[in-house]
Amino acid sequence: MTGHPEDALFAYQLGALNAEEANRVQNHLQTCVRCGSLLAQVGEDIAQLALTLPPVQPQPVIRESLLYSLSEINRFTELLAPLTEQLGKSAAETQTVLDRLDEPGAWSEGDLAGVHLHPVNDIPGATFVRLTPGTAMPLDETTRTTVLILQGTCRGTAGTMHNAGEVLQVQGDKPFDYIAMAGPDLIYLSRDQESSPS
Amino acid sequence: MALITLYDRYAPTLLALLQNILGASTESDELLQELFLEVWCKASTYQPQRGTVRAWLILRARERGLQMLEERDDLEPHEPPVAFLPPDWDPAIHPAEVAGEDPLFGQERAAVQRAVGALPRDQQRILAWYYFANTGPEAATKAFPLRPEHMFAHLTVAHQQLREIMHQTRR
Repeated sequence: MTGHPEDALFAYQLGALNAEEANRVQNHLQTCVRCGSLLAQVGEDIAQLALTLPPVQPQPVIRESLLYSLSEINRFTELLAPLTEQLGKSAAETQTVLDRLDEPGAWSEGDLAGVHLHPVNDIPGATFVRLTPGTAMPLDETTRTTVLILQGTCRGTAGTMHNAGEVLQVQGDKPFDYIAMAGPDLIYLSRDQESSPS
Repeated sequence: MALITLYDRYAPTLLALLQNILGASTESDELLQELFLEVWCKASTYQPQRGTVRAWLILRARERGLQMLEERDDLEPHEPPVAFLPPDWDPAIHPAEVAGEDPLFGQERAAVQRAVGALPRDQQRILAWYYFANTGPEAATKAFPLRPEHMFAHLTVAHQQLREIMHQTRR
């Protein structure tokens, strides 16, 4: 196998290559954007094959159990440290803020379609924002804003992708600068710099 | 809640996949639930440039199912069906659409079934084994007395034949 391993990507994704060949493909993928994109297409093909099977409706108890488990966990805990820094609160206080995000009725509809808001009560200018995919980030044209992404991906200026854990310094001088990409809703903490303590 | 929407949409496909790998057992049910909890906790790591949510879910379900199959130490392990289609599959007597399901999903399933059904039997068998039962090179050697390069060639040709039809029908 030399050059781009296009022909090997299907077998690679299925786990059908020997260890040496799999390592070679893996190493190539780390530096080749083109083959990374082809691998994503091969992944779609492999996923689509699962559709050949007649679907099996799960027992209702699995759904109920899942709902119960979801009420017991908070998925943002891994981002506790950067959030604590952004909010200037203790870890315990930040965890309480995070827990509220999953409470029923935590989000109110924003002025724009696809935008939901959850202001942080005691911090002026700090708001959690949830955007459905395809929605542009609502930005104030005059205020610089610090954004910490908690979930999802957004495409920024020049097509750059930004993922969970990233901190952006943004200003709304152009409409549609940052757009929530397909997948789970984009959730981020937005903090006006003018409102932040120095 | 977004996760429950995903569950309602994809759980029947994922459970069918897990049952093909692990058998219709409580193991498959438990893994289905674990999978969605994992998705909930790791939703922040999903990157759309690496594929659709559907592919993310199905590929992860397959990976977890095969891991669990490999970890089994049963003296008589479950023999998965190892087939995409039943031996007597015929589009006229096996309707692809399922009651209550999005009809477009059923149309896509019918097209993919036809594409797989058009593959030669040997290719179907090898592809299905790697899809549902691949627990490593040793198991592959036991399952097929073929040289690795021949297996690779079978998979590559099968993919080339499937790809065109699958790309046309993908939603």
